[in-house]
Amino acid sequence: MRTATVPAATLLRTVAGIALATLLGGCGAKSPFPVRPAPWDLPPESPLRSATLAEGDAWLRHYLMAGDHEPAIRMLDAGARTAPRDELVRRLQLGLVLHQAGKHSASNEAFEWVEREAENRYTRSVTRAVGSVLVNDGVLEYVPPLAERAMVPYYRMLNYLALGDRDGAVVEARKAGLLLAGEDPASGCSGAAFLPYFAGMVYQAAGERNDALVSFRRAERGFDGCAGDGPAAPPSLGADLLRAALDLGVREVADSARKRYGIPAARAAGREAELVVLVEHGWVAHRAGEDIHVPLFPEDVEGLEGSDGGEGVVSAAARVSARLLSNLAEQAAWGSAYDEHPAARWAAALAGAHVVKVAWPVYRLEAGRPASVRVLAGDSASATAAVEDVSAGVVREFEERRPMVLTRAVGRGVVRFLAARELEKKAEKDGGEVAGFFAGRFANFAGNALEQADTRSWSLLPDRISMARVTLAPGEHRVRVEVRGGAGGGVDTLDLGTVTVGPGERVFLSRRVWGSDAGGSAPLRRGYRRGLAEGYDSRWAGEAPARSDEGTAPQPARPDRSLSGGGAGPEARAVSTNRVDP
Amino acid sequence: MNVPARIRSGSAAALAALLLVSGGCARQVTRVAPEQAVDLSGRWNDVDSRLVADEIIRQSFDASAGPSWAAGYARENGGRAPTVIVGAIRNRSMEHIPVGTFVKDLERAYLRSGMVQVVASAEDRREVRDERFDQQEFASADTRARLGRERGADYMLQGDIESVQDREGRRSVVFYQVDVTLVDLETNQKTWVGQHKIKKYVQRPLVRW
Repeated sequence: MRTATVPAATLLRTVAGIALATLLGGCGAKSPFPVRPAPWDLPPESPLRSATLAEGDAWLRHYLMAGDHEPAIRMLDAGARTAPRDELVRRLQLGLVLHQAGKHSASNEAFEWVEREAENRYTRSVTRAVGSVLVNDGVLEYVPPLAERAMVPYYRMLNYLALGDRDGAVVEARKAGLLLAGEDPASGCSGAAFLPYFAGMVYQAAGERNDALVSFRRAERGFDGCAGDGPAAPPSLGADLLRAALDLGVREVADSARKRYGIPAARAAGREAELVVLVEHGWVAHRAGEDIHVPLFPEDVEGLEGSDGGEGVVSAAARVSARLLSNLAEQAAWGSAYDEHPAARWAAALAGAHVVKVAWPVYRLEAGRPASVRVLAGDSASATAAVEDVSAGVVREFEERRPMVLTRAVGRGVVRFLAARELEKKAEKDGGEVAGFFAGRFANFAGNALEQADTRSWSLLPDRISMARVTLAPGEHRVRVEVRGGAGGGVDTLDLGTVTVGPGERVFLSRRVWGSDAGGSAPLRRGYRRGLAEGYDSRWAGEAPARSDEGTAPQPARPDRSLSGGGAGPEARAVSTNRVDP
Repeated sequence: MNVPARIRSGSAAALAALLLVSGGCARQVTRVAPEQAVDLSGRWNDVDSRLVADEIIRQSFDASAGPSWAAGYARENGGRAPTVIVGAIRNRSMEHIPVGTFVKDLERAYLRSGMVQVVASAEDRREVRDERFDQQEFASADTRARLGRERGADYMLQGDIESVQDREGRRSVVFYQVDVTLVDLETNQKTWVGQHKIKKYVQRPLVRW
């Protein structure tokens, strides 16, 4: 080994490398989040038990489940260290927390900003795109997938209805139509059925008959088009379609709806009121980081650099590819590969290897959904029918984008390897073999520290939405939601308060519920396939396909338990007194 | 330790670039005249509201479109200008248009025309009446406003704002149509119908720095 004096440039680079590695290691940085309680002190459904959720997301979910909205709002304050770095993600989360807290105007403001910014982000930033190649995908501005964007008008409609602003809700219904119309059909089923269905009900309540019919027809098309990839059309859609068609005198559509949904004859318009309860279940699938490390040993590097001819390149590429595939196979079988162990990585680095890290996001479903939910209003009970699968939507869209995400991750690995190799060679030339060795290793570690999966998402969304429709006589009615498989595995009856309905009125309520445990942390694809293999209906277990208004002796209402059934927030919202023309 | 000139010059360039970039982040506020049209997103804005209101009122008294309803009213009522109330303007567009601003713009344009008198809307009247009732008890006899002397409107202006949007990739066209109708409060007769359309073409850039 030759010794030489270390020139200033190399020394500076080495010091910079150490400083960067220290900085990236985050040594000594105090976490802005509270200390998590020990797992055995937490109920099984607590998001704080999750090993895959980002710290901020876990705490936000915890506060939302507990109905403790103020700490969640403080966490999301602009400039707070606990807030997501991307402003759009921050406002998405904030809008939903404010909605749950009953601060509907503030929630709408947050969502308004989101809508405008999401449009602006159509224009891609060149600097950020370059940054994503050099640093990681977290540098890119977050562009919410359609499945997330479709939930914005949903919440805004609920907000406007809660504020008694029927026209505002109708504007949101129109925007929902525009959002879906402008989207690439390849985006699939995200919101394609539920959103027009809900918009149709809002239109109908506002007396916009033509728009209501168009929306119901779009919803029907959406449910049909996404059969097997989402919930089937709820039976109430047929009745809504028939009624909207009869209102407008479109006989062909009315006949078709009557025949298809087996509705015997047009019911005489009554003076009954209707209660629509939207139940939001559990948590949407969230993104978690996955990564893999592949060591490139000096003989691989020499081979790849072609120092011993083309044969060497092929041979080295084959060795590296085999190692990568082997690591992926080990990871799939055992959850981790040998090369993932820090000791193995250090050993490889000390042997002069360049350890390439590739990180990418995967979706995990820790939905925490209850087994079944019923709505009790007065003396009648109505099962909920599934209308939207939000998790399926976000995962489906990510699956389409995944090849690009992986390509960028591999591209970053190659760029970093080339940069580190150049630095190593330069340092070796200037300062000798030792300087080259350290410079290469520091560049490698610093690059790997930068490589992080982009795990940003609107993690506070529900896993799915179901709906119950209850026909009521005009007057006052006590409304409750019965959650089976809530915390403790029993039956929780959550009191939504008393609703006063007049003749022909349609009243909307919404409620967030959670199940008795957070669910496994298996990747969603695997869990999803398993669910499909067991029968898609099992995913909606307990949710009757047909509306049943059978008289049921209501269970005595129990006070909300902490972390069960939605917490103590003012989720029960008598949000509309819009009269529906008979 | 001797730091080579190459590194010194590189550091200086990096520092300059940093200053330049951080300078670009400073917020800039420029005052503009309220009547100046500034279109940022292509959505309905204050300029649309004002221009449509002015155009509607101009149409309302446009002599080239035939005999003016206001002049006809004045002729039949001994030269007295008709009294108008601006009623509901329904927002049937895809945006949350502040209709209140548009109503105020219409009232302002009517008053500026000098052809009609405008009375307060139902919402505004409530506060005025409260004040008048209050005066009956607390104001001196010579200054209190008298009851039962409100001017009833002869016509009500009603209307709606509709919009159609077509979007394809980074291009979109937004079309607004504002329809207003002047209704005779006594006979429900539609005395005058006005319409104004705005079409905007919005093109978003593909990339930016």
